[in-house]
Amino acid sequence: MSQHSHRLAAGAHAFSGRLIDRDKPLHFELNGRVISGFAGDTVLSAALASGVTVAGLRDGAPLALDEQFAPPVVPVSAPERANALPMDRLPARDGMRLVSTGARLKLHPTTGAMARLRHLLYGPGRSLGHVFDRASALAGPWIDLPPVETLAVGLCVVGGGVAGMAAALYGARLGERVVLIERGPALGGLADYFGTTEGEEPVHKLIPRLRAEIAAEAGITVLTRAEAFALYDREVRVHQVVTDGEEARGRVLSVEAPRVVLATGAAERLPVFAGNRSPGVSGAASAFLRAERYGLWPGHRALVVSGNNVGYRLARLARDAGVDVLRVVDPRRQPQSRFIDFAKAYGIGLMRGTQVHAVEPARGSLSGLWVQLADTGTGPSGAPIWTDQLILGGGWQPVLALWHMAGGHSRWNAELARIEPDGAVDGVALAGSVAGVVTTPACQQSAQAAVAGLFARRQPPVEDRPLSPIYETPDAPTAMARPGAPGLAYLDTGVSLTVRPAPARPRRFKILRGDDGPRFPFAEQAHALSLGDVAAAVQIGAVPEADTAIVTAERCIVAGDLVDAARQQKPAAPQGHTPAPHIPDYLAGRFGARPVIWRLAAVDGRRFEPGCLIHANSDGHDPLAAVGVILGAVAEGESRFFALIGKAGLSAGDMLVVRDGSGAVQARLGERYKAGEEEASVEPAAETPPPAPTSAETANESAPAVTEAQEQPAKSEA
Amino acid sequence: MAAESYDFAIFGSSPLATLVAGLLASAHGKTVCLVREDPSEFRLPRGLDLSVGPITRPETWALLGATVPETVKLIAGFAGRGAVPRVDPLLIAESGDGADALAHMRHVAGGFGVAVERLADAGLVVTTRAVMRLRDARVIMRAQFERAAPAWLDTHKVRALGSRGGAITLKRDGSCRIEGAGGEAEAAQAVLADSTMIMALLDADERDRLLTVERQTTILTEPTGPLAAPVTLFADRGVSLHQRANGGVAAIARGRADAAAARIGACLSGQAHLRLAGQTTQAVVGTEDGGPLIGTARGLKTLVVAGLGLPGAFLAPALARHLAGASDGAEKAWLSAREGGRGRGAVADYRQPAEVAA
Repeated sequence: MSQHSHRLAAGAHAFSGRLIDRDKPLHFELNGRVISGFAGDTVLSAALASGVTVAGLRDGAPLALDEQFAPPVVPVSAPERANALPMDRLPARDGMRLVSTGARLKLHPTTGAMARLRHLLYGPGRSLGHVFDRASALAGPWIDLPPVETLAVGLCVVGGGVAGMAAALYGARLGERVVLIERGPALGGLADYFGTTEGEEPVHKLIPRLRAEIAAEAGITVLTRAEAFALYDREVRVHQVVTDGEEARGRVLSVEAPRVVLATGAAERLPVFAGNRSPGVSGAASAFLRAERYGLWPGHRALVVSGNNVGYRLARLARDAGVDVLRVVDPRRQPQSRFIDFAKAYGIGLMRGTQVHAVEPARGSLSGLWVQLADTGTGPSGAPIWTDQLILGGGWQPVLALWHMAGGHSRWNAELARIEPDGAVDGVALAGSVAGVVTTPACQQSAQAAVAGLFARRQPPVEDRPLSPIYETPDAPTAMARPGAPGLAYLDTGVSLTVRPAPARPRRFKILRGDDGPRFPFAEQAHALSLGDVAAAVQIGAVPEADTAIVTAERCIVAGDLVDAARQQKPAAPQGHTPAPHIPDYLAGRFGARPVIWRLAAVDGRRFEPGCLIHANSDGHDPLAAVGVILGAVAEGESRFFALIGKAGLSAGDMLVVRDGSGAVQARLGERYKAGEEEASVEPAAETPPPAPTSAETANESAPAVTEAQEQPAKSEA
Repeated sequence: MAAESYDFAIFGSSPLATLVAGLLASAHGKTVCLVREDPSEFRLPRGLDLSVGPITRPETWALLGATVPETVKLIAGFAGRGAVPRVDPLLIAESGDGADALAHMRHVAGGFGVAVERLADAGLVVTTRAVMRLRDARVIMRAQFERAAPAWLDTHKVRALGSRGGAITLKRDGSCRIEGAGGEAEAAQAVLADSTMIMALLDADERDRLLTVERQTTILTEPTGPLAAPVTLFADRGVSLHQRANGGVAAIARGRADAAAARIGACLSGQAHLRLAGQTTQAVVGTEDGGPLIGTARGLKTLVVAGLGLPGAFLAPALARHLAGASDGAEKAWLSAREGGRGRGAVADYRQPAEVAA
């Protein structure tokens, strides 16, 4: 596999790679393999360009390496987990030596001479070589690290797309200090992917203008390559990759802000079919960003399957860049769009009412994928199609993880087949597509409205006017193929690795089993879920619509590590031992209203543990009839014990029986506990009558000595 | 449409509320409606329903001796034996005071025939002062219980109403009116049987002064290797662990999410790494003295049930008899000693230290 085998040639097209400098090549080592890239690449984009397209295996099937599923990497020289950095946010540098981590690696060398020898013998593999036998193995370890720095600002904006940039500018112009957090290497978001509608400010002018205005605002701090991963109690936790000279490192920041705008956008959903996370399968927006930023494109043949109109635009841009677009497949029966007209004009073949049924990686010397299509009404149809890349345009899911962490609720929108925010959270506002806004001008208006609302100012109207459905057919819900094809069908991209549950089988031999057992396994998913997982699960009927709010609130969480959390926070272990003759609260009233503390010793000198019950005689077994309890040793190592006794009429030298778990032990009373020595009485709660008598008390009351004891306050005893 | 009338309205989503509602109808011939959150097998458990706990009061062990077999038979009858399996839970104390309490519990429980072993080493990672294993306890498997309960309630004509979106009016005389999408209902006696309903329906000044409100976090973990026991209670740390069949652990701890996660993590630090799979935090109502409260709200005759602790569901038969006016003897004495206000006896029980619950 040659260097940059998955990179498009530079040219007068949109996919030349805006962020890379082809005149500045670089090389680094990843898992023992030499990776070639250009200045401006991330470690991930360089690896993908060099043909490393597989993260590893799950159940023997390869899992694609992509922006949502890439193991963290650590320097070979400092492989501690705390040094892990995300491949997609780590800038590639010449001479780096990295190894991927997070999930176990197959037993082959990843560093040193053995790795190079393996490389020579078997050629450059296309896999990082992991085995994914548990979900969330790739969750960033930084989510468990404490912050190294705190930024206190008036407004925190999460998301550097059009809405986020507009919110930051509006906040700064209100005189607030603002932090703007963007996951990618630069501000801009996905607006480029959607293009411009007639009458709007062109995106290629709008984004540079907003960037320039932000750069000119002294009150805005922009954090790029920064992921906001938690939001609790007005504190946003951020992990950022920063470079100091030649060194890249990660740091966790705490942004404390009384007001937070979430402009986190919407994530592209993964259509569900067997093999949907095979190498070569890519989301349309991901494919666009890879190509536009880094010139990445695996192979020369592409099949686009899209239930939205932007997929056709991507097909046209790919054709411009020299890609052989086999056809655009659309699950909608009668789609209308200006982009469809453009695609037709380019001579790209179109199929309607069709979706993917299953994908299988090509075997032997053939690379690429076999794609089996299916008519949306009747099922699999036609012969499988061979392609280098399958590009999927699914539905969109608002990115609500931080919203939920902040206490926000959500609901299922059956018409759009997505989870939407519900209600309000004090101090937190949503802006842009996460709030359900579609058009670029409306994203900016919703950002202004969000900030104005947080600062109790008059909110401008948000006029979201998408083109009429007559001209632009609305997106289809994310396609769900019928089950039955071999291979795993994942519900979403990302680290949760949630697989479509198998249909429930009829249960036989119920009598032998004794119970019904789990009716449907999805509730037993033992890992954190993504919103895409839940949305797909609702679509396929694995989660009832009514349960969407519960599942998203309780199961779509940051998959932090409990053991790491304990190491970081070091919670205090319960301590404290109040020495005898302290009377714990749970003994209040247990032996009548005025029990007495005595010293007591076993006749045979044995030691008692606190809590042993004391009976009047050896016939006593019933705890309800116990007359007292051992409180503890008089002193460390002593064989005399303090005992709390409710039996009246006792005197030193009297014999009682202690049940120590092994039997009845004769014990002799010593002296009463002397005050100096404070009051030994244990009173029931103030202003309450005596408790209902237990059988023990009833027995005691029958003894004349009780009356005598009650008349004699304990503190006068000495 | 005229409101349907019932003898009792039981408010709550816990197994205790469900069992009390069903028993009032099935065993005592009462008409009952159960007002609860919509049932969902996806909801993380808000509590652990175990037939034992760090209980020091002998009269409670005596009562459980009678009510646990009743409850087990009842649940096994409508949900299958798998819904209430036997377990041998570990009870652990890390402080000297906690160890003293567990030691006393061991002697009291042992006196009622409960098999309690003191273990020297249970392979735990925390430094312990006392480890006890209780034999033949029972735990309610909530998922199976929840699946079977609606049909059982239907059989006994218990009407189930969702608590969301409805208007609930509690009246001074203890009766109540419920107006919601599912229709209207009135009941002669309202019973608030879980924390959510007490918090939702009673203002702070209507709650008994004995009641406390704390945050509690439930965490579900990814699967891990077998723990020392399927159910482990860290009595003075305020953490309970219940390992599910798939290896995941449902852990419940007092406190807000981050503090609870660290406290639970410390109990599981024998694992190399253990990631969260689910999490929820809610308010729980307890009592200042650690003892149960079965009494009326302040200024209302609405009955409030709180602070029953781990074995609460297993006390349902006694509570149902109490509500139906059919309890007597020691059971009646146990219940009347646990009223609120002036009627409350000395019933304090072991309670984790306040600083741990913070």
